[in-house]
Amino acid sequence: MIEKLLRRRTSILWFALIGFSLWQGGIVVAELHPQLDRGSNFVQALGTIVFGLAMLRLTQLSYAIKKTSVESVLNDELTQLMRFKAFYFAYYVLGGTVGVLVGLSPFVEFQPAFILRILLVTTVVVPLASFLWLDHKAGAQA
Amino acid sequence: MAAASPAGALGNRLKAFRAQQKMTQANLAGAVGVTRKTVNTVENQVFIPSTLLALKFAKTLGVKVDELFYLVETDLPDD
Repeated sequence: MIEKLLRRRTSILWFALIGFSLWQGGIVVAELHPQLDRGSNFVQALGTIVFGLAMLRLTQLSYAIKKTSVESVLNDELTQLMRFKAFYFAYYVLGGTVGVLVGLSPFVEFQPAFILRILLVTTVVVPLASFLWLDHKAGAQA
Repeated sequence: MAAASPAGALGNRLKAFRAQQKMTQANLAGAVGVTRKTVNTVENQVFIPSTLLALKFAKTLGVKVDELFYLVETDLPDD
């Protein structure tokens, strides 16, 4: 049962990552290349649906296991460490992203909305991707 | 002059004791209340468990903590 729930959580996180990347990535592409507007609209819509469904499933899963012994198993020491490492790594990537944007700002005129979107994408995508990579690595040790 | 490094690694005999008890990683994980990946990463010395988890492993396997876990000295050679 635990293994099944872990697999379900991992697949939900994958869908969340892919959905969010498509959704926000589509918007960034549309801003950079307005001629691709129609294609990016489809990608954005698809991404929004996938991300929305993933969030819904994650909420359902959280409620289903809340205050059961399974909850502490799914949030055991290794999971907590992986989450900490994922956010720690994301913190540095976010800092690096801000550094790059600041460094480019004298040469490139960024719209504030574009900068905010890049920071939002970095904040969500990097910890999610890092967690999934660490989770995969932990499973691959077997 | 001795140049001892304060650094050390934590070794463990989790796999051996688990095999002795004829337990799978999943059995041990279930008994201790963690995921199989946690047991696996501890056995492979990728993840160092907390004192609480180390005590739970020892209790479940019926051994003392210092039989299960040991310090691997990594002293630098003397000059």
